[in-house]
Amino acid sequence: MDEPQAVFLPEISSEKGGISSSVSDPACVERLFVEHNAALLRFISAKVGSEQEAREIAQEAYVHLLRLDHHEAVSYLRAFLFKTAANIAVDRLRQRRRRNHVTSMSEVDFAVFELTPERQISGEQAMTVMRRAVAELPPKCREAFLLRHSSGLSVDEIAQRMQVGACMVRRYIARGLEHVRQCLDSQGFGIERGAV
Amino acid sequence: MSPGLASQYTETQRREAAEWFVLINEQDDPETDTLQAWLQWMDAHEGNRYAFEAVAQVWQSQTFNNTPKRWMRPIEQTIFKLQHCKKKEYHNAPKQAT
Repeated sequence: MDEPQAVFLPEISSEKGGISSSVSDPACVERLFVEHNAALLRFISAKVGSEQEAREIAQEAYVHLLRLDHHEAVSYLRAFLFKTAANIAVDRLRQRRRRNHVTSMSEVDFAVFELTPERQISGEQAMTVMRRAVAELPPKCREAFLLRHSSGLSVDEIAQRMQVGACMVRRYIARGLEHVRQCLDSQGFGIERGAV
Repeated sequence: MSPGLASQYTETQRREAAEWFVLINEQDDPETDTLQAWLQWMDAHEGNRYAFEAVAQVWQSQTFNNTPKRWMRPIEQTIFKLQHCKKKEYHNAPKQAT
C-alpha cells in the first residue's frame, strides 16, 4: 500500500438527524483524514490482515468521529479515531474467530472436501508445522505466545500473571512468532501477498 | 507449497518484523512517533514489508485456538473445553423425544 487509499467520508451537512447533525468540525476531520488516513489503514490492516476490511473499519470509525458532539482538538480526534477503529477491528476479529471456530468444530469434515487435494495437504502440513514450532518454544516463551494469541490477554496481564516485565513478555511473544514463521519458511510454506 | 515471500526477506528482517508486529498489534492508540517509526521501517525496504506480512499471517491463523493448552491449569482447561465444545456437544447430543 504505497499511496493513501481512499475511504468514503460521510457527507456533512446542516440537516438535522443522523450523521449530518454532528457538530464535529469538518475541517478537523478533513485534516485528520489527510494526515493520518494512510497510517490508520495500514495500522488496521496489520490487525485484521485485510486491506478491504481495514477500509470498511476506517469508514465506520470516521462515522463515529463525525457523530461526536463536541469540537475537539485534532490530537484528541486522532486518538479517538485510532481507538475506535481498533475496537471495531477487535470486534470483527472476535466474530471471525467465532465463525472459524464453528467451522472447525462441526463442519471440518465437509470443509476439507471443498479444497483441492494439494491445498488440503498443504494447509494440514502447515498447521502441523506451526503446532510443532510452538511446542518447541521454551516454556515461558510458549506460555506468553499462547496467552496473547489464543487467550487474548494483554501484554500487561500476561506480565502480571508470569511475574515478569512487559518488555520481557513482548520479547517472548516476538521470539515465538519469529520461530513459527522461521519453521514455516524452512519447510517452504509461502504466503500470499497480503494487505499491510 | 511455494516459497512465496520467504525468499524476499532476511532473518534480521523477520526478527524485526516480529518485534514490530507485537508492538503494533498490542496497541489501540499508538503514539504518533511509534506509528511513524513503524511505517518508516516498513517503507525502508520491500523485504521489511514482506516480513511483516509473513509474521502477521502466522498471528492471524487459527491454528492454535481449538485445543486446550497443556500449560493451562486444570480449571482453565475445563473452562476452555466448555467454551469451545459447547456447540459441538449440543449438535451431537441425541435428540430426546418430547
